[in-house]
Amino acid sequence: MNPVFARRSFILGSGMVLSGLGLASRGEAAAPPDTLVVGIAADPTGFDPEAVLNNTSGFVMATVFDGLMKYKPGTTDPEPGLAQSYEVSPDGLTYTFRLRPNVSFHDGTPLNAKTYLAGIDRLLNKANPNYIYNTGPVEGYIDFTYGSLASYTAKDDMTVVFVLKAPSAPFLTSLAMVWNGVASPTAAAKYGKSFRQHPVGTGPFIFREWRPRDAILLDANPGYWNGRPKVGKLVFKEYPDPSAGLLALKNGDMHIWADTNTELLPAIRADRDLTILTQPGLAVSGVGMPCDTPPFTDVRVRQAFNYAVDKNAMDKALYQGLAAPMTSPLPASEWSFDPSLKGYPYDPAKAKSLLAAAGVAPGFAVELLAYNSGRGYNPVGPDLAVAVQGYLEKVGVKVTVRKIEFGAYLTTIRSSKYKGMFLVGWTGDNGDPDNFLNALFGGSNIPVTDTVRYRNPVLDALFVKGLKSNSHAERVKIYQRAQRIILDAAPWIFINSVLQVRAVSNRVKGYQLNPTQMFFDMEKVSLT
Amino acid sequence: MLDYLAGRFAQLLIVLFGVSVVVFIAMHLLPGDVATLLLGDRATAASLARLRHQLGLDQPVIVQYWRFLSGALSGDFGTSLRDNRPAFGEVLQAFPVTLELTLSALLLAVAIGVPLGVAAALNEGTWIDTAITTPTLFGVSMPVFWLGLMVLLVFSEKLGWLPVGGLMPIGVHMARPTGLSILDAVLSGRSGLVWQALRHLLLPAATLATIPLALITRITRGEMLSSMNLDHVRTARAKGLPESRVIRAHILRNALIPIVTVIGLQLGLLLSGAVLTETIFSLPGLGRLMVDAILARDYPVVQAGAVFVATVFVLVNLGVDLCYAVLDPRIRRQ
Repeated sequence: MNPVFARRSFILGSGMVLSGLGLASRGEAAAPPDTLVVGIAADPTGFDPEAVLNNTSGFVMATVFDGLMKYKPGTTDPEPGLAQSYEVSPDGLTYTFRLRPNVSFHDGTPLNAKTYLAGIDRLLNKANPNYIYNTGPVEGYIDFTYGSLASYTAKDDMTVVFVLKAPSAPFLTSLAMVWNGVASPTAAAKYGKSFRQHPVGTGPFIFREWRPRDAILLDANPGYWNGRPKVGKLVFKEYPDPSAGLLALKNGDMHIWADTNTELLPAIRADRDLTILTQPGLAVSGVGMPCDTPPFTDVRVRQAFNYAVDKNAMDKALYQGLAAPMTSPLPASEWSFDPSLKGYPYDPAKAKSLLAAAGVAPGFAVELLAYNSGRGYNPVGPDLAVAVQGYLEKVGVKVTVRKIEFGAYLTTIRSSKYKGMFLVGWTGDNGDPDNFLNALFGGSNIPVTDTVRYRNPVLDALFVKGLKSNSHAERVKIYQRAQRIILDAAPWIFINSVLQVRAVSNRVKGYQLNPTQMFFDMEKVSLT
Repeated sequence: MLDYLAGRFAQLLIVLFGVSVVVFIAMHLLPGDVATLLLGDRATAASLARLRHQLGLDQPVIVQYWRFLSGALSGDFGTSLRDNRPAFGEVLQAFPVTLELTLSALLLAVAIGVPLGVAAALNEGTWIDTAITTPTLFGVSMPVFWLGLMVLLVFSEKLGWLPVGGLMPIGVHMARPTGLSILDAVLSGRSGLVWQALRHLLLPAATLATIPLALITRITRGEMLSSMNLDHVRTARAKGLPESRVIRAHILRNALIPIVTVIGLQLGLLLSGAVLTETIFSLPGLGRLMVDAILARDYPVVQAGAVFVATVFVLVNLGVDLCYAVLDPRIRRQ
């Protein structure tokens, strides 16, 4: 049995059955009253924030660790976290952080300049006996965050100073990412290679046990600096099958479904004891066109493809209305998003005339490569490719959809040799526009993240300027100009930006989604 | 006998070598590498190169295989590329869950299937026969994922009798020295935990048991029918033996060899085929570990798992062959 097929049939089948039966009764006794249970779909790979990189690990780590900065609840705007306050020098090169007093790691190690910098040294100093790269594979954001760092020093017991080699406007936001959670240097030294299985931070919950492919158990941190958590225990419980996850949610075995399956939303909506929370996410999804390969070297062809696709209809039919058409290369949740841009409306006649003008004859054939399963930025996976195929055929383009496994897909589109179109998408890391526009369309990122091989010197110069600027207003202008250039150049068929969707039990109070999808501020969540 | 066993163990080594080579080549032929998967959309050329180096993926394939083989010979299968834990340790941690599930399913299948098959054969052509054989047809052709969902809906959601999945209720702590839930619950000395372990095992085991149960019933019935009219059975009846003894000692025993073969094969199939059941019922078993590892290109875990499963397969077959000897004195004499 093909497991993908089995799983898919299973989800669809169960959705129908669950709605059809109209199950009224509550089942098995629910989780203990003081225990908040978050349902996850996959197994984490470890909990060292700087070493592992996947959402599930991030979900857990957001409750165990704090960053020097944090996101304001529900946003990607940074505010002081373990730092009580900070200052940035006028040249944008020196960052001074005053640490929060009376904070301890879960193992009792006090947070001060010495212990904080010991953690930074573990990441950056090859001579450090606990150097993180000696503990196993490192997938994290060390280069991303600290790549421009010239020095890190203690000004006094509770003050640390970072000096950058070049101004990096996103530095503060990056420090708030879950991947820059501050780990206890004592525990990192004690556990060494297995620290990623024994995380110790300063966060609202204390790690107790990880049962692989089953559950992660955490206890409330009664001395948490931002207030004692309102539940006694937190459990991340794995439900690899979405239908079983839904039953657990309905039964009261699960309270927040981190990986809510959107195909089951009708059944969730039908249950009055459940609520669906949504929020504009940090995701964009589309179809990439190889900008160095004819006929896609001609901007008219790329624009034609954008006009050929009815994004509104697709959002309704495929995404159950849980996505917004892209009118800009940035998602609407981004602070520099330009609301005056209107994107490409559905206009097949215009698409045909643009194709004719570019000399693309009807019957032009092209392959469209798709990953074979849903992604965070595109929950319907390859179905998007099939929908685009249908629209392009209406304007005389013959599209062959080829579905392959995600690893193979990534290797192919990053080979620089692939000549077809492909599904493409991105989820922002820190909430900064550079992390979208430069990553996806900056010439220096060809072919790894700029997979469409789009290069524009004017745009690249804007990105350099945007990184250097210390002024928020100036950065907004820079990135709005960049959005316009990219939108006109149309290296992608800009499809949509999916909403973050999570189903929760009505017993859950005080829970707020964050655009990064991470479980921040969980000390505020209670169960009634 | 010792020569026989030595020969079989030599075969085992050859099988394991073959499995390791085939799995290694197959995993490396799959497009996409683990570094790309781990770093996902966010990778940069530099981070990919560094991670590949850390994982040893920048070495020639033959060097990677030699490292694996020399490690494996000394019992070290390396560490998981995904989570940095010892690969063989992960397999050993997951295996008891699958073993318990598989054995329970097989026990259910045999305990119900053999008597049903006997009853059907003894009542051949009657309504009893029909009542037994018709459902088995459904049993053989029932998709596990559908059946799993249905039993969950009925027994967990609608009736509320049994849990949705997992090994124990959330919030219950139990030491797991053996990894076998029921045994660990017994060792804990808390009768409530034994009850919980059984309740959590019942639905997945019953789901996994349907296909072998149907198969065993049908094989038993068929073998019983073909043994019933053999000469020695007629002789036994002519000697005036009680019918129950004729059935037990002369018909069923004769029919058991093919049944045991099927049971042996089913055990192997169940060990590798429990993945859907483990997924539906959220059980942290070997099937799920292997599927996750394959999808993540976690070579060490896939290798360790494949070698382990192959070993179990060969040993189960050996056990089946030894059972033949117990059941059939003629085989013993050879």
